[in-house]
Amino acid sequence: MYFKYDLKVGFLRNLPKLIVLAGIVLIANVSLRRNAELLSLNLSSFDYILYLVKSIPPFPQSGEEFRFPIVWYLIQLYLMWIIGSYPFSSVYDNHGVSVLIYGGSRSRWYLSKVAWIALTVLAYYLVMTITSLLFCIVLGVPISWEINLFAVSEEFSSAALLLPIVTSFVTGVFQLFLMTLTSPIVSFIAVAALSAASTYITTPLLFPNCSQLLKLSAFSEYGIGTAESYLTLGIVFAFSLTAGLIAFNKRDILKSQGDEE
Amino acid sequence: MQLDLKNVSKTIKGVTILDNISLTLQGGKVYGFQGKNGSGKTMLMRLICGLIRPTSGQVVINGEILGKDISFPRSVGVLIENPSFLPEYTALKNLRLLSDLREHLSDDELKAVLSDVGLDPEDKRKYRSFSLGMKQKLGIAAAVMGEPELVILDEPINAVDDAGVENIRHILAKLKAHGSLIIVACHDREELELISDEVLRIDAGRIVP
Repeated sequence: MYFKYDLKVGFLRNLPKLIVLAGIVLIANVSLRRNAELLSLNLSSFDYILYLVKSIPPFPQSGEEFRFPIVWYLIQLYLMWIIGSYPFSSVYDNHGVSVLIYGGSRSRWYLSKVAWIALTVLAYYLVMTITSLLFCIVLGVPISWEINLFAVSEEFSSAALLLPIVTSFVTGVFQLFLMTLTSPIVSFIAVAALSAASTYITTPLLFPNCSQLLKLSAFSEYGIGTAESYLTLGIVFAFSLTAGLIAFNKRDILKSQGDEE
Repeated sequence: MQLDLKNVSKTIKGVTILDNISLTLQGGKVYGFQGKNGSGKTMLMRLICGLIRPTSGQVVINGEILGKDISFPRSVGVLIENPSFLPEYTALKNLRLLSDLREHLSDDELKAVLSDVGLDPEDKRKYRSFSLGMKQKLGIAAAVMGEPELVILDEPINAVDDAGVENIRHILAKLKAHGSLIIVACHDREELELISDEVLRIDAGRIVP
């Protein structure tokens, strides 16, 4: 029953926010198009989609100069902001309290928010894909699954291509867990910092690495393995979900955080 | 309906907010909570709702321990602090959204509740354009819809006109006859004594004679 509420209030009501994402994606597509023309690269529609999550190769192992992956970071940052802006937005006022109480279970409330995160992440990546495809159709870019933007290693598997989506979901669940301990803004800053750090240090412990294609062994010599990535994400997910449920079940819902009367 | 508070205390950041409260409250009665700001009234209401957990002691509702057997009372309506709803929804749409969370009430039932509190059920205006009094009435409608077994109202007559106060009295009488346990906190001492079967004074987190 909570999920029906989250679908209406948290998802459908927030869909207009994805227009901003479409704008970010279009700007990134235009930038890639210009670079492709300058370098005479023949890119496919799939390249345009992967460009959004490619980030940079492992640093410093790749030997390349460190260049902050602005496109990847902006896209992840905006998703974190959307995720941070809903679950605890009204839980301290009378409406949020009524929703929580009338649904009858703190655990179900929390699990519904996890389901909302999954739905939001899927919609987010769908908007990215559709926007890029429309861009390619309009500009006559060949619609194909070919990858010409970067090399594909022998360790490539299609499971690696799903890692950005899975990582974003797990990051969202981790962010929700942090929200139960702190506040939406503190948790947003924490995951934003974690993501920023992951661009510089390549280790599965900084799990946002798993959503950067060029940090994966499927695409880079010194990258993180696909199985290793899924294992790390599985552990982070299990921990975040369990600890979040326990923390939320014990948490006092006061008028506002830190309020005593 | 029976609500038992057994030696309930609540401490937050080293400050004792509720101090060893033991009470038994019965259905079919209105209990008034009276006390100064900061006395612990609202905190006690939040504790009974399941929003905060006691540091020690137990809240037992119909034999079930809150926080152990159940997260929240099984049948409860609340108005704590200022009412708030989705600003772009009408009164009816806001009530429907909340009622769908536990038991689906028909449109006719929801419209009847709106009429009871003195709101026009056919009003197409959004919540954002409501006056303070209308917002308060909608908050009460949300708390009493479906005639819950336990109703908790914190300052229900805030910003409500005389006719609205009269409506609230009628609603409370109806709920009482239905067997609901009603807890009301109110700054207006006369009004509280008028609507309550029993007034409990709270001071520094304790029930005092």
